[in-house]
Amino acid sequence: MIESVREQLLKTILEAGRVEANAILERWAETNGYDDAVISVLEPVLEKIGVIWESTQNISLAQAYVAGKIAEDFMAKVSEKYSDSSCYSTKKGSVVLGNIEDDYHSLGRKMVGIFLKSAGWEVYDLGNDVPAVDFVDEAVKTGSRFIGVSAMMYTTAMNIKKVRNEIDRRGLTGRIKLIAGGAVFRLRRELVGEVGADATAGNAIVAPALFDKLSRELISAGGSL
Amino acid sequence: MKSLERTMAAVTGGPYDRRSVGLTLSLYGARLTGCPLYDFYTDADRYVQGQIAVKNTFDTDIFYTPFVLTAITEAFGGEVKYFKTSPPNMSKPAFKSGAGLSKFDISNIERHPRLVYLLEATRRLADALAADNAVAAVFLSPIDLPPLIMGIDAWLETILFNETEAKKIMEMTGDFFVNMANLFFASGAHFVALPVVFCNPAIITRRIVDEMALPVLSANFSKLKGPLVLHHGGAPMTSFISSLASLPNVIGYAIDQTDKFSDVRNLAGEGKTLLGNIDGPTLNKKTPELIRAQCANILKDRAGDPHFIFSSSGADIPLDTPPENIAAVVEAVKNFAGGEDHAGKR
Repeated sequence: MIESVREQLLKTILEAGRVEANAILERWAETNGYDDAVISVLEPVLEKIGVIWESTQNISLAQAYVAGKIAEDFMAKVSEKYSDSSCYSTKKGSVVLGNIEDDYHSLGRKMVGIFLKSAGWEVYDLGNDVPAVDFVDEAVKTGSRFIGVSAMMYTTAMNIKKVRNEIDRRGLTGRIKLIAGGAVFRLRRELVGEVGADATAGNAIVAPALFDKLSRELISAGGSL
Repeated sequence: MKSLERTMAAVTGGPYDRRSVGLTLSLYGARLTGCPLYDFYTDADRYVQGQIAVKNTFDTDIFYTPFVLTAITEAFGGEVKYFKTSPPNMSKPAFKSGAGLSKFDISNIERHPRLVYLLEATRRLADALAADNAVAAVFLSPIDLPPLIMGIDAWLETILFNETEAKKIMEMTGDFFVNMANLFFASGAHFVALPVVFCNPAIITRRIVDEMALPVLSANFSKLKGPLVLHHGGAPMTSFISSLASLPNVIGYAIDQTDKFSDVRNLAGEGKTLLGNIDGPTLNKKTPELIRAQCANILKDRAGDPHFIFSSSGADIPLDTPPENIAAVVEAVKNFAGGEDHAGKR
């Protein structure tokens, strides 16, 4: 039963059926609860889309965008229904996001934010054209252990180095993890090291899995989120 | 043989003395003339001086009008940020949603100073170089104009979830596109190069490609008074190039560096001109030796293909690219022997 619902949701998302996909999730939630609709249906399907996208590239930007919108729509309903009791009211941790100084290509960043929020992360989104100092200031202010910086082009990606330098200059190396993302990092993986980032995600949908992994590493190294 | 004749030979499949070479050196002209980028992208004379310097320095065969698509953003009322070492970027779209754009009045928009700059640069570039060289105007198709005006996320939102509004917008951008492209031709451009993004199934759903994008392109391309070259727009073209085959007035495709010429040729048919595919944006990271070797491989791969122009793929060649790297490309093409008979189509 659940497999066929997942298959149906996957097919509907890939056909960009936003309304229909929400209806599938609603129907499941009415019988099994909203938490279960997220855990048993939405999350596995998103994970599958992320894997297909990363391994075959056979997911269009539009399909990933629709997946993000459906996750956003449904998580808004979950928040409404269970404002305190849902497992999703407890946050996994917080992340500061933004496009680096001089970069205005916001779509990827917004999608990462949607998927992180849907997966239970607190997101502080600073927007476009963010100076390095502002990223680190916000992370310190909010106690975030992760800074996610997006850039679309090589020229702007190199500005991410300034965030690395700012983290190191303040003695926060290892305490705050720097994650770089954007089209240019998919095309040129070596850039991740060049800009001094600790990690990158292949696409927006798999970003929550990366942040989960990094947080487990931080905790096992004796840190806290 | 003149550069223009050599380039036209690749289009018609006629005999040629060597391969035509067209590198995206729009931005690089500013380096050669020491022109600040704001001046370069707002003063048509300064732009053309830069392209003449490219001609005198590298002697390539094809020249491009300003690769500054954000001029369109400005013409529609959006904001743009200028940089010292790279082309400008849209910092604020003119509209946040489709509702505003679909009501925008485009009458006389071609008289906006930013579009006058593009057309004037085309006219002056053609006056200076078109007798001997091919001149290509860079613009966007009706389905790819909206992201430059309202932002890519707002356009995605509209085209995915509000088909009626998307169609209204494309009617308007279609009229704008036809008007501007025909003005480019009237100003002396031999062809218009169009990056195609929103008819790529890697970007948008196949249903939208088939039911919305291709019909809009077909209807508007048929109204043009000159030929088009479709550019990969930053993503590989192989997976959808066959769907472009029936579009009117398209003479060729500028493919991505990751596309294989042989695959594209099989899918595109024999008559279309293929352009590419050394990566322009990373030319600054390579040595002249590596570049020569890569060029030789591409030229060997295309030996015997009468419809081929050696070009850079991707966006503009960066400002910090050593001139010897660019010279290495041009020399590799000019000196390539490779056993070709240069007879053209048989």
